[in-house]
Amino acid sequence: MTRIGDYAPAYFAALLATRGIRLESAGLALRLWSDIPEIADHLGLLYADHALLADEGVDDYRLRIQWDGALQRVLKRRVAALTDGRPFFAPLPRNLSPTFVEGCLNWSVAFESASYVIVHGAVVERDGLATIMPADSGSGKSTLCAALAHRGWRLLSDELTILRPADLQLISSARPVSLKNAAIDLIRGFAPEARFGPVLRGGTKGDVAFMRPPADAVMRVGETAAPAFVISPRYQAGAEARLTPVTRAEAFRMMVDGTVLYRTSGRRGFETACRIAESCPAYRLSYSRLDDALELIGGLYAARRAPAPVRAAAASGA
Amino acid sequence: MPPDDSDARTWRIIHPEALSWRCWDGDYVIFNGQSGLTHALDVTAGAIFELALRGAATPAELQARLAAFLGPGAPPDLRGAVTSTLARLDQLGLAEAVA
Repeated sequence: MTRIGDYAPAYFAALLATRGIRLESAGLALRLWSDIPEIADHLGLLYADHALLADEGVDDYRLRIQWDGALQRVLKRRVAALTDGRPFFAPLPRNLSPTFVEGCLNWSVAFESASYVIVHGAVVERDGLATIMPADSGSGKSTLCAALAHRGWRLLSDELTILRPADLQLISSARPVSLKNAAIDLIRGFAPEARFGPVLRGGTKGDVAFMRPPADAVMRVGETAAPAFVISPRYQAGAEARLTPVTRAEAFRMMVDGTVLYRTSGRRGFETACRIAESCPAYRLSYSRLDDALELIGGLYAARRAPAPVRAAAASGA
Repeated sequence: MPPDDSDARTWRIIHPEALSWRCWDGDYVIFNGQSGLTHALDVTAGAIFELALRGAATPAELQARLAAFLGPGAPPDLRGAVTSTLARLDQLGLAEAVA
């Protein structure tokens, strides 16, 4: 098994620009070509622990990131991304080109993973128990996820919860964590050992920096995890950290609201959300200090190790 | 046609085999495989849905079943609750009058 970090940077950049590389994410095979130096640097630093797939095989998704036309091959200012030969979103300034990689991987998993239910939310795991954190963009879920990933929790994803309905297991992708604006320095201070790519300035969401996933999380990317808690986090400046239990109906709504293409997921999406609501205690978490939030979440894990009370059965029909 | 106060028609749930549902502490969620829509109902509306699912009934019969089903928790205006809920279920394509 060859990992990206095994290659010398110059050799890897040449490989990426010629034959391309194949990466796996949530069971999908992505083939990626690029002659943009920032893309090679992004992959070399942030995917260093990720294994490459064998060069032969069926590609589920193909992404080519290149200069945006003949003039840009000279000017080298603007970059385009093509998926299967078609433009993938609008061209971007060169410095933002790494967002194409992450955006395309998110896109392919969210919309091409026919066998999974995908929820917009982070997932971490400890002691075999996973916490799903469904939340909107800007809620602070990636920040909390990054902090947990550096305090003993295993990172599965900061962006997409990938649920396998057949056995209700969570699939890991262990990809870089996207941090924005003030969260970048917050995590730098919270976890000095964390490694970051460059700060990408000028995007629609402000400054963005990708945090490299901890090596252990990448090494264990093939391990699934059982969902144990649902926590919807919200950063609120100055707020005392507070975990508020929610009803199963609210937990169901959290899952449904976050499910990508819920309407087309049909009965499978509904049943998956029901099973999560029935099997996982759910909470809303408001916080302003990461240490306080982690203490509350750690408390849930500690209490879970004690015998849990039996919950009443729900009425249901099918 | 929505029910009114004098409605003596029998109401039934449409395509019950296409429905999946749960009730958690009085909160009902229903998935309609025919429409692909998911609905949330409160305890009274959900109970009327569940009772109609057990067997087609007139609004008067549903009022009696609802009183027994919810006991002291039943709404004071049973007739109004049944009438408005059947109208809502009709609108959602979950129930219909058959005779």
